[in-house]
Amino acid sequence: MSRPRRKCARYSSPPKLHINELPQEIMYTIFDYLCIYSLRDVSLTCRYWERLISEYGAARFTLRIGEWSDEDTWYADCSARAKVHLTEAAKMLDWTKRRYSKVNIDLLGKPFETHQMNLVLSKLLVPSWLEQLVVLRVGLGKHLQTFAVKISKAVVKMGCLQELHLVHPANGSKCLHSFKELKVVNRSLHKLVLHVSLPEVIDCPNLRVLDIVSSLDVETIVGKQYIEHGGEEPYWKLKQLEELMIWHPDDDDDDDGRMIFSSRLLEQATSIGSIEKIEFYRHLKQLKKLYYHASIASSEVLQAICESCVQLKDLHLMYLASIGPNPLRHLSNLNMLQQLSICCSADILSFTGVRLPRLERLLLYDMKIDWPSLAELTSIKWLKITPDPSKVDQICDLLAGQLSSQLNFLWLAMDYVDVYACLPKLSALKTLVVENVNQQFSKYLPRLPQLRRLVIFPGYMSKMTLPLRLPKRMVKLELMELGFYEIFIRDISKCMMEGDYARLSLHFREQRSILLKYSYRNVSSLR
Amino acid sequence: MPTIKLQSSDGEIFDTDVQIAKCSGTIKTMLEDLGMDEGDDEVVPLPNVNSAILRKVLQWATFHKDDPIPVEDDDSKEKRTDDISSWDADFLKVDQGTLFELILAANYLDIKGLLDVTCKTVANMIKGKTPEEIRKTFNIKNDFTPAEEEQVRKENEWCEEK
Repeated sequence: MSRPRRKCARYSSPPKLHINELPQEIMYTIFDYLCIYSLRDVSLTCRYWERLISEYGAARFTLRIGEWSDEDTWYADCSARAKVHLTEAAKMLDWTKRRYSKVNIDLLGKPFETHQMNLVLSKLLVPSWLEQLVVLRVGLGKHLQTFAVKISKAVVKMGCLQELHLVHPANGSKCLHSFKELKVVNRSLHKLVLHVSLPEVIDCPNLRVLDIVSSLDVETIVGKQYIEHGGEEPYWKLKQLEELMIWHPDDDDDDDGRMIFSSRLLEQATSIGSIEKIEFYRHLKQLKKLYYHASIASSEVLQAICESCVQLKDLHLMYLASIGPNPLRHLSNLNMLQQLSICCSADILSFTGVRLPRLERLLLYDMKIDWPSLAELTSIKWLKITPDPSKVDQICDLLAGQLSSQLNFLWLAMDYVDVYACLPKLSALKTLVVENVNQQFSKYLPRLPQLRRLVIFPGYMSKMTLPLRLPKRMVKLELMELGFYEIFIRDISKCMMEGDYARLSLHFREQRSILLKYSYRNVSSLR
Repeated sequence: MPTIKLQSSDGEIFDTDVQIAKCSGTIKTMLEDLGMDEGDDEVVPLPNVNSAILRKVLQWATFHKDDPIPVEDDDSKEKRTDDISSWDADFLKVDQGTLFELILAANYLDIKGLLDVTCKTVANMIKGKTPEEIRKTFNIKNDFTPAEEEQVRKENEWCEEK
């Protein structure tokens, strides 16, 4: 253990203080600066430090069962290894002294057998663990059905559970999505992530965040229940929700990275389902963030969202079907809106007459846009656009005109060097993101003495090195980052919103010295 | 410029600019709670800090007196340690005993900036080292039995960051 304490007088010629005399909270502050690999080494130094790491790590680390390196899956005796893994996991749950608050059971796509899974779950779903779990991620694949009752009963008893993830393989779109016996009932739960697996009941008075990936039309299903029960919430109680994300799982029919909308989907959105969807959104009056990335938002649904969810600060729409006059006019109801993103629109998107006094961030993907109408958005500071080559003049007029003094962040999702010419006029521009560029882009980039940060996403397959000479033309540049997607994700817009990307950055410090840093960050941190 | 008197554990009195002394949350609270006025001849006793360390702390506080108030970041991920300014790096070229004393003093006096930079310095002394190198750096005795050490190694394999 720690060496004898020498607390007494440090007056005349004090003995040298030893690190083990620092109080625990200070050691924890030091540990905050270390990564898990360093902390593992720290735990191997002596018993006292091991105990410190055990206690400290309970809040920071995740206990992970079921994951091993991909190479292992190539072994012929994969199922035998799976068996050994779960047997070891069950033993470990018996002997471990670490009181993990985060647990991730990831048994997807591996040949685990039900009785072995049961062995592990039986060790984990006991009172001592149920009382300490704060974050639980359960990936059981098709076996979720088998354990639905067991998990439902355990979730009720988790006294400090904050976050629950129920994960199902996304690729098996033909398999079961809705689980009759699965009930999520818990008093403390704050965030629920349902990846393809939908429970029958959600009853959590403190639930604020719901993240759903499902190919089922969740809003219609739940909205229908609300209608049938006269506005009551019989199965899914969501009135208190503040953040809702609905994603459609990756389909296999969109290879070019864009959403392809079948006429069937369009029909579905504009006729059937609308009444139920409208009823669904009428219940969500507390919503502050809505990521609607599952189906087409018809004008009526958008109207319902804008009339009911008036507290929205952040709205993402995947596809806007416009019937009749510009559906964006409904947005004027959203006084609090700070961020808006739209992936696709059936018609030309126009902001004419749209009043959004607090809108600061606007993300527009590849679609037809009435560019001059963006000038009406006088509060935006953060803009992402996909320049349309046939409208370069309009875009330049917009950027160099109305928006020139207010934009401090600009993201150009397509490499059209003609747009670069207007960049020097953006006097407040601090961050520039260029996407889909090739090595030549830096030649065309003009002098931008106002720029602090440059983020570069090379185009697919284009080999790219950092344009190290560029900073000479950007005298205030502090940071240059080269990003590339880890995997080329089909659904680019989703990747923009939440995907991790690997980033290689260069910092230009006081002495303009260069520090190479390789880090993983979320795109949303680009703010 | 108004000054106050700070007394170290070994009795030395430090006449200090009030603005600099108030870098310390502890002293700031004391002055406010006790209603001590500037110009009073009262002495603020600091029984947990000796004169050598207090001198260093005041030197740090003097250099950093115009720093903006550090913001609390709630990011639970690993924090940066590569952003220590060159002045601080030089200031902290001291023996380990002094460094730990400074940490205790910064903690007791509630000086966030000094606590951060000293803790970062210790973290940098750990980073990238093997367990044996860490033991050597801090003069720690390995009291694990081989079986215990193996157990910890095994335990570590089950946990990940996220």
